Amino acid sequence: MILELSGIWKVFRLGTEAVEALCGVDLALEEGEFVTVIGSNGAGKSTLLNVIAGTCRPNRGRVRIGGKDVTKWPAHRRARWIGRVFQDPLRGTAAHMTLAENLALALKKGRRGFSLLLTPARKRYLRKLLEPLGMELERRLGERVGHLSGGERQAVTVLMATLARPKLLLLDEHTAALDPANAEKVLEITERLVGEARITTLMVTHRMDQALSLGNRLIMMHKGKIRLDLSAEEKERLSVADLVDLFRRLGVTDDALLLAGNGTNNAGDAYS
Amino acid sequence: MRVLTAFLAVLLGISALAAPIKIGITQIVDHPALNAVRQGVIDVLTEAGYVEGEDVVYIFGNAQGDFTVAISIAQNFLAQKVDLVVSIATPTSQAAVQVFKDTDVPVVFSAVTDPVGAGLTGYPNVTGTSDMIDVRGDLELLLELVPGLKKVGIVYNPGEANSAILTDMAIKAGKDLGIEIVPAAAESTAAVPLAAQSLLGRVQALYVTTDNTVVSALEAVVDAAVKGKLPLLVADPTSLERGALVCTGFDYYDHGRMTGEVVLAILKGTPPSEIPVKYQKGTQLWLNLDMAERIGFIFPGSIKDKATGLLFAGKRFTLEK
Amino acid sequence: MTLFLPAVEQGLIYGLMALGVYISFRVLAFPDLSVDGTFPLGAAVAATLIIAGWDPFLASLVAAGAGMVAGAFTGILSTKFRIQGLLAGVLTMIMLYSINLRIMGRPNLPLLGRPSALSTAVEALGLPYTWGLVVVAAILVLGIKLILDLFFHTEIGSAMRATGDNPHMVQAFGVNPETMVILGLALANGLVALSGALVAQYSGFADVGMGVGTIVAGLASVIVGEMLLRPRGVFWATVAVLLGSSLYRGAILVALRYGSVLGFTASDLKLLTALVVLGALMAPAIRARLRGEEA
Repeated sequence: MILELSGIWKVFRLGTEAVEALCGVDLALEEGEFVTVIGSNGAGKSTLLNVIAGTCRPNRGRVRIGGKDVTKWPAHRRARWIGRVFQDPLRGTAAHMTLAENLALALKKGRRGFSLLLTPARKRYLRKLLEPLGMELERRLGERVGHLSGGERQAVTVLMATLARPKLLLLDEHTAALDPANAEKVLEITERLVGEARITTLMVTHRMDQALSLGNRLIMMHKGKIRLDLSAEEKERLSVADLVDLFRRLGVTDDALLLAGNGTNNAGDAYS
Repeated sequence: MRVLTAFLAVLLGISALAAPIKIGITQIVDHPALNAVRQGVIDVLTEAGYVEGEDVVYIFGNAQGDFTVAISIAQNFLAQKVDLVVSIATPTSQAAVQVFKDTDVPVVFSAVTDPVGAGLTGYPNVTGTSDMIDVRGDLELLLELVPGLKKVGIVYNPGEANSAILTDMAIKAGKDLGIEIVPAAAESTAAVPLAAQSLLGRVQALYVTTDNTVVSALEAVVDAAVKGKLPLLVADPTSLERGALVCTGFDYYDHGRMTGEVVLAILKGTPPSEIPVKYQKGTQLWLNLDMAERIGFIFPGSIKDKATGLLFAGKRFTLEK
Repeated sequence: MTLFLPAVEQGLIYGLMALGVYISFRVLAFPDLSVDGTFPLGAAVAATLIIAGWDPFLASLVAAGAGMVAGAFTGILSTKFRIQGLLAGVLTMIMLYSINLRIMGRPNLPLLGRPSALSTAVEALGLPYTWGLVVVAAILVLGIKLILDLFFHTEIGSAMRATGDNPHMVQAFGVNPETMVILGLALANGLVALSGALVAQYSGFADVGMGVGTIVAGLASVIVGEMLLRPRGVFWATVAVLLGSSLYRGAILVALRYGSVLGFTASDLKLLTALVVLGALMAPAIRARLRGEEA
C-alpha cells in the first residue's frame, strides 16, 4: 500500500469561525493507481493534498506512506517520497536559476554534499530527459527558468517532480492556469511520465471530462468527505452528463463544478 | 637655448621657494570644540605671518563620524603631498599616524586625551597636544561644593575612547577621595536623557567630562540636574550658558592655539621628535549664579575666591585676580 | 593615478564584507542587519588577539569564526524562534555592541606598530609596500571569491541559492530551508568579520563604532556592481560585487580629492559620495539615451 489515510480530520479556525475542511477521511492507494479527484469549492481537495504532503497537520487521524507513519513528519522529510505540482506554474521552479540547475536539484532528494551540481555527464543526462518532452527545451539548459513560458515551466515542474522516482505524485489542478494548448501538452507529458515509471498518482482536477478520461480511479469529494469512489470499469461507463446527474443526486449543486471548465480557486489555498 | 633653460630653471626655483606650504587638517566630526581647535591652529599661524592662500594652503577633511573615511582622508593627504598634518581627536590621529608613520611628514595631533594609550607616541615625526582634564581636581572641587559628598553620578558614552579613560580615572580618583562614582552609560545622544534620569535619587552631584556625545546632549543632563536639584559640573567652559552649575576645563580654542604653537615650531625647523607631547594646563573655573538660584544652591566662599568668572543674568563676568 | 591603488586596495578588503552582504541579501533574500555588529566583532577579536601576541593570520581566522557564530545566531533567531529576519539581525547587532566592548575591554584598541596579516604577507613576498598591498589583497580576496563561486556550484551551494529563490520549492526536494538560512548567514557573517579584522589591521586600530554604516556600504557595493555589470551567473555576480565595492571606495576618495574644486566643503563628503555613486549608476542610462536606444 503506497498511501493510507485513516480517520483524517482537519479543522481550520478563521477568527471565530471553524471550518471543517476534512471530516473523517479514509483513503487507500495501491501502487500504480492513478486517481483523479474532483469536487466543489471547499470540498477539501487541496487540504487533502496538503495533509498527505505534510504542509498541513491533521487534527486527528494518521497518514501512512509506504507503510511508514509519517503523520508527524515535516514536509521536507516526506519530500523524499512525494512529488508535487501546483496550479501556479511559477511555484515549482527557482526562477533565477537555470533549467539545468533546477533539474539537477530535482535529481537527488537526500543529503547534498560538496560535489559539483552540473557535471558534463549530468548535463548529457538532463538533455536526454528533456528531448521526449517535445518542447525543444534540451537546447535551453543554460537559460534562466524565469524566461520560460508558463506552459514550459509547468512541464518542467512535472518532469522535476517525477525525476527522483517518488512513491507518490500529487497534482493540484496543475493545468488549470494554462491555456488549452499548453494544458493539453502538459497533460500528455504527465500521462507519459507517470505511465513509464508507474508512479502512484493523485490528481485534483476541476474538469469532469479529464477526471473521467484520465487514470484508473475517480474520487469525488464534498464538504470534507469522500462521497464517490469509482473504479476504472465503473467510470468508463459514465459520460460527463451522467456524472453531473450523480452529483445532483448526492446533493452537490455547485455551479462552478457543474460548468466543467471553470475551476479557479477563489477560496484561496487554505481550503479548496 | 641655454638662456631659455637657465631662465626656466630660475623660474622653477623661484616658484619652488614661493610654493605655499600645504597643511592637511583632519577631524573626526563636526563639533564646536573640535572646530574651535582648528580655528586656534589657523589663527596662530596667521598671526605669525602665514597668510592663507599665499604662504600656506589648508586642506580640510571631515570624516563625519566614519572611521574608515578617516583613513581615506589621510591617504588623500599623502597623495596630495601635504607638508604637515594636523589631526584633531583620537580616531583621526590614529588614522593619520597609520598612513604617515613611515614617512617624514610631521603629524601633529590635537584633542587626544590619552596619546600613549592610543598608540600615538614613539614615532619620530609625530607629536601633539593632549586635552587630558584634571579629573581628580574636579572631584576635589565637588567635595568642596557639596559637604559630605559620597556619591557622584557620571553620564558617559562607553563607546568613546576619551570618555571611557576619563571615567575610569574618575572611579580610581574617587576611591582615593572616598567618593563612589555611579556611572550611567549612554551610547548615543538619544540615550542621554534616560541615562541622566536614572541617576536621580542615587547621587548627590553630577559630573560630565569631555565626552562628545553627552556634551552634545547636555540639555538633557541639565534637565535632570534641575529636577533633582543636583549640582552639575561639566569639564567644558562653553557649557556654562547651557545650564551647568560649575564649569572647569579649558577653552578648546586655547587648546588649538597651543597646537598651533607646536605647528609653528615645526615649520620653523624644530623636528617633531624634539617636541614632547604638551598637556593642556591651567584649568578655568566658572560659576553659574543663575542656575544656583534656580536650584537653591549656595556657593561656599572658598570657591568664589578661586573662580575665573561668573555667569549672572545671562552674562559672563570675568573676575579680577 | 594615485587614487586608483587605494580605491582597489580598500575595495578588495571591504569587498569581503560586500560578498557577505551579497550572500545574505541576494542569495538568501534575507535582509541581514547584523553585519553592522559582526564587522566590528571581527575587528575586536582580531585586535585583541594580536595585542595578546597571537599570529595575525590566526587571529584573523578566529575573527572570521566569531563572525560565523554570530551569523548562525541570527539565523537561529529567525528560523527556530520565528523572529522576522530584519528584527533578528537588529537584535544581534545590538547585542554585539556590548559584546565587542567587552572583548576589547575599551572602546578603542590601537594596532599601530603591531604585526598585520597583510603587511606580513607583503614582506614575505618581497614586494614594495606601495603596490604590494594591492597584490596581496587581490590574491586573498580573489582566491576567496573563486572558492565561493565553486561553492555555489556544488549541490549544497545550489540548494542554498534555490532556498533564497523559492523556499517552498526546495522543501519539496528534501532541502531544509532553515538549515540553509543558518548556514548561509554563518558564511556571510564569517566573511564580514574577516573583512573587519583585515580593515582593523589596515587602519591601525579597532574601534567599537567602526561598524556603523556597514550594511549601507555593503548594499551600495552590491547594487552598484549589479547595475553596471548586469551579471548572469554566480561568477560574474561576485565580480560585480567586488567591482561595486571598489567603485564605492573610489567614489569616497574622488569626493575627498576633488570636492573642494567644485565648491563643496569637508562636511559635504557623504552627499558627494552619494552623488558620485549616482553618477556611476546613471552613466550607462545616459549613454544609451544619447545614442537613442532604450535604456
